Amino acid sequence: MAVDPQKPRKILVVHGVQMGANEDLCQDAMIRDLIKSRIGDIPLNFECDLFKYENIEDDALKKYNQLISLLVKNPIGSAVGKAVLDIVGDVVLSLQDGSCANKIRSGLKKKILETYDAGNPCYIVAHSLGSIYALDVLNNLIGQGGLFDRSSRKTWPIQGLLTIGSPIGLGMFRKGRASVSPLGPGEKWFRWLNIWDPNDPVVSGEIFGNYLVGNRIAEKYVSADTNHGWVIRDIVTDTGKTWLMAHTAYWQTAVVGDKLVDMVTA
Amino acid sequence: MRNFATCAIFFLTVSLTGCINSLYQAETAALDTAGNERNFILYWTNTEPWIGTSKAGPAVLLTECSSARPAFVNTDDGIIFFGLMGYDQLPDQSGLNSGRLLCGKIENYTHLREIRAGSISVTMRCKPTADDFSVGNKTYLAPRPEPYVLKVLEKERQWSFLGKSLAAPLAPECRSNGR
Repeated sequence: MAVDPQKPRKILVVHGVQMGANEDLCQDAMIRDLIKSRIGDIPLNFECDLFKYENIEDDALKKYNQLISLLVKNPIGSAVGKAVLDIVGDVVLSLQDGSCANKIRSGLKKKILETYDAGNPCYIVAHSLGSIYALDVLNNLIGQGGLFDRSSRKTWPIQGLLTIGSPIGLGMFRKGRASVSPLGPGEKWFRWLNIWDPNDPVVSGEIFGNYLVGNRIAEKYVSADTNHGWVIRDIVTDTGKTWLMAHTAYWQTAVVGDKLVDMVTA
Repeated sequence: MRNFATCAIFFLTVSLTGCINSLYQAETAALDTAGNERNFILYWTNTEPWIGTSKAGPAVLLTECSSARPAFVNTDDGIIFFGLMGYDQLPDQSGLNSGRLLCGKIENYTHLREIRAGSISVTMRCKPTADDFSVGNKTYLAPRPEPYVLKVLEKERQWSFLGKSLAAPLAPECRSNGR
């Protein structure tokens, strides 16, 4: 199998922590609109798709939801409890690294390899917790061998990774992810752009969205090893919003669209 | 008591989210890296929260007839466009190395949030590379020894309770695909 650069580019979106169910998710449409709003007269043939895993997490949290229904009789309290469980539970499931997290990673890997088998150049846009899963799968694909030959991008199931609002700088997610899989010898470079707002509390871990000083999160993964093969950039970005609003503003931020256009056309 | 709590929550939320959003833009006409006369737009936003530190950037360079969108980011060493190894190239660099490619710099400021009006001095050193995967022209401002001087305009400024992602300018319209 090989990627055909003439085929439409596939932009696979991986969502982050969510409330609701798979049916409620539309981040692929948001990325499609964002690219269209920034592409101008560039003749780019592309498709957007979304890897949804909210139902896998909801299934794993079902028993806790039932417990809340039993314990909290007040409808408002029950709704609030379930919403909090939906959000916090997603993070806990990821950190536990159990069967649920493995199921999500397997599903994402399958989706990427299906795109690879179809020959479409694939680019990942991963938001928030989705960036952790995307990075895990990417490292796994590089590590398994037979793919990601550095002398030919046509052997790459993923051509570039763009993460937005990623918590990868936080200790709890960094644990067990101290490095990225090296690609080996060759002349091609795999791109990882990490876009984040300095007031995004999910990126900084600051609950009130205090300004995060410094410019390096993903760039801590840069290696001087010539066989590393990753070119990694942090792009600290003003989304125009602060605090929790900043975490959900990337989908409408022109810089995200422009950097995506830049990546997908190269 | 309930009114007081409502007011307190409102003011706490607004103090965390309220801000002034601005959009800045600088334009020029010059040669691109393929040697064609082109129009260029550099834009960035600035957000001043009611409480806390202002933030701005990055500044994105839009080039007529090009899909390249280099970004000048705030760093400890100034406002720099770092090229990507394998995708940008210094004129005197034939191979690849593990260092960063310092491809451009806004010379007369140290952070984008400082720039409100006047002129910026931009140096460019790199050229983009192309391969089978390139779509459209990959060009940007041509490298040259002397800096480009661009006049900065504040295109928009507004305050809001929840902040706003301002609409950025589009790349200049492509007049001809050139050579």
